[in-house]
Amino acid sequence: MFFAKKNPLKGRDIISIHDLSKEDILYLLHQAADLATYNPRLLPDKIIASLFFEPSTRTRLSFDAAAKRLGAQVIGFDNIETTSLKKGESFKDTIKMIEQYADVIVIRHPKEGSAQLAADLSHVPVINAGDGSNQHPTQTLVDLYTIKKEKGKLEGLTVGFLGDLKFGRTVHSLASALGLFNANIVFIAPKGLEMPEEYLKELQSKSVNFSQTSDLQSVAQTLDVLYVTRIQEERFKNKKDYKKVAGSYTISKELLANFKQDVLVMHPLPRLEEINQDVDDTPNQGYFKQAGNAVAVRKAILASVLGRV
Amino acid sequence: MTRILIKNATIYEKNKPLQADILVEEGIISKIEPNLNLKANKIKVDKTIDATGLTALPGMIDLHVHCREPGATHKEDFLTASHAAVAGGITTFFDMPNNSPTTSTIATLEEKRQLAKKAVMNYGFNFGVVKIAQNIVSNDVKADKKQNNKSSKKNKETKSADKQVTKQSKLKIDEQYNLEEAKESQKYKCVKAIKVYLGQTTGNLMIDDLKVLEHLFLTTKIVMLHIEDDNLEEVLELFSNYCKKNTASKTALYICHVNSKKMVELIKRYKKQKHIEERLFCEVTPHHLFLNNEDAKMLGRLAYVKPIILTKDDQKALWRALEDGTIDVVATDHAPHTLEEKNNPDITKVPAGMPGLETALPLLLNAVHEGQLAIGDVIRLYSTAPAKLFRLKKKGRLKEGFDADIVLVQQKLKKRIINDNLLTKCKWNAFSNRELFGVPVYTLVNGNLVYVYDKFTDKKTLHDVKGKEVE
Repeated sequence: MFFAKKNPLKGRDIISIHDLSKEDILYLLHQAADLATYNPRLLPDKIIASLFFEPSTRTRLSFDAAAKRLGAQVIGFDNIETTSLKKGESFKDTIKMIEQYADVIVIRHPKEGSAQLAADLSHVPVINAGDGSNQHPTQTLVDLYTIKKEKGKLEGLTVGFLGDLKFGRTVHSLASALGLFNANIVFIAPKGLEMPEEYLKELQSKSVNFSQTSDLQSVAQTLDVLYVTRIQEERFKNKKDYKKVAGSYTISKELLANFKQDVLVMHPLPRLEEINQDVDDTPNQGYFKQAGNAVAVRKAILASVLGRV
Repeated sequence: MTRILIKNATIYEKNKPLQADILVEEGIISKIEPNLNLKANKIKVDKTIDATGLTALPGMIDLHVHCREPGATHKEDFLTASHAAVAGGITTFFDMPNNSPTTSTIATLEEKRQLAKKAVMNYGFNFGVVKIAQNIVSNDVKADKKQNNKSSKKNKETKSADKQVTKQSKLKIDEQYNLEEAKESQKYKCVKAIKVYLGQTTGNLMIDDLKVLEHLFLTTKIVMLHIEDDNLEEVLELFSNYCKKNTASKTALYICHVNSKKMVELIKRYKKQKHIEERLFCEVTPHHLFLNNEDAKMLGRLAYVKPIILTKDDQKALWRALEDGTIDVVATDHAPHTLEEKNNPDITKVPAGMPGLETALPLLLNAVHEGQLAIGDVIRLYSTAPAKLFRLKKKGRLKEGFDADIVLVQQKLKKRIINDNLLTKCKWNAFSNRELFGVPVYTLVNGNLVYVYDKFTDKKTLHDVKGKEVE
């Protein structure tokens, strides 16, 4: 009731980070900061449908926790084996049914574009919790929130993305969102896993500052944030190539000595060997903080689309 | 010309929220208007503060603060006290005279005026009344010591001391006390009140002769009184008689930190007398409002203050007195001591007092959140009424033409009080670990941004701003 600015998210779907303006994003981040430390019962009369057509422990549980922290009830499934979809009910029918049961739909589906389809079908807001390799906007918001919290600002940061940039959807979304905040973006990838041409063109059209390299050391001193993604073995023709590339990009405490002292190391998790465990106890560690911030951000998203903040 | 625009703040007229932009020019609030159109007026601003979701309040005014300088700068000094104050949304404070040396002469006042220049905010002073025949008392002490050392001289020494004491009792009241200097201090704009101690606390300013008060009523604007309830009635009766006789006088009596049911009931009764109207005021501290003896038991030595924290019943009476208007003002009695001093194993050596500047406004805002107070009450008790009482022109309200002492608070943000993050030099607080709704986010003093809180990083930023004596 004290929030003067009209809630710009009320009743809206959140399908892609591209649908959100800079103001929308800042609004959500501010709400998240407010809700981070307390749990007002904003949604005691609301039911949230949580439809997970593919498993995802972190995303589902953090949405669940967020809803329950605000006093909402959660219905849904995380295993389609136990649903009528098994009996052959169409996706469309499932959505048309569920929209009548719930006040907001959180959906995760392996097929690209399915969240948008659900939004088109549903009268209640739909939140995309990941549709294949396409979009995962709430993860991007968690990343933005973590950067703001740890670096104190979003404006004008130099952010390096490291690893498999070809298939990493987190990177695509976060890079374009950071573009709204005048970031300098550095893509660091081994040959063959560079950012796809189409995404680079898109960033160009939005006049986002970016550069590309395969040499991590050459840019180490410039980075405020280093966002690491997993390099998947199956992308390589032989194991030797994989070992060589993966090894050269492993972040360790020793390697961090070449970076800015306060560089923030992020990772969407789960991690394998990209980040050595000796980084966990350094002040540069940001990946577990990302996980911790997920609930605050998802609280803000639910409360905002339901018009309760 | 520096211009700051505060955009889209929530301001309160009475208790009604309104959306408005506030334009600050040259230290003054020049415009308060919804959707202020600067382009049409071709006005460029140096800085814009997005106050969306924030409530703008007039800066708080604390009439009762111990900055501990000179004499005990290991506890606090003017700089650290002012940092703590602006972080607590306080933009003006008045320092108490019980320093070492006491602020009871023009020379010590002048010295303090120099020391206080470090403060990043508005400040003023309360002048102390002391017995100037104190040299006799110290002679007595010397005599005692000598008695122990040289028993042969015992008789002689005792006699001379006796002589001095008898001599003292023959002195007139204004010869015994520094009343001339007190009168002189009233010529300073930065001195608004005379502080009189009728109860024991930190320092050496005890007064035991009520004639002093009679004298002060005639020569000063405001008499601030540290008193416990045993002789309150006597003093109020004295003041009542004085008011009856001197109807033209505007001298006000200000009772510091009321703590008991008995006190507020007495004050309420005297306030009802016609001739005393608008001349008798009283103050309550946040620790007396928000703590009772059960909390004090848990806090132990940390909760030892003067006057002491009493029962739940007394606490309730204070809240009732706040509601019915018996209590006029909230002030912290910010009285920092180091944790080592407070935790002295010898209980007789634990000093009385606790710090309060950083938590006073958050505690009051939290009370608003819990429905115990209205936001208008907070503004009245901690800004408007103190400004009016101390006759501070252009302070205490958010109004065009007033000084740009502004605090922007986020009412629905909850923050935990953590000792290590405090800006007071003593680094502790009795409300440590409590979570309070209502966080000062920006503080402006005379149009200068002096304090910023970042809720994302939990970082406090202080800007170097030159403080100013009140006028």
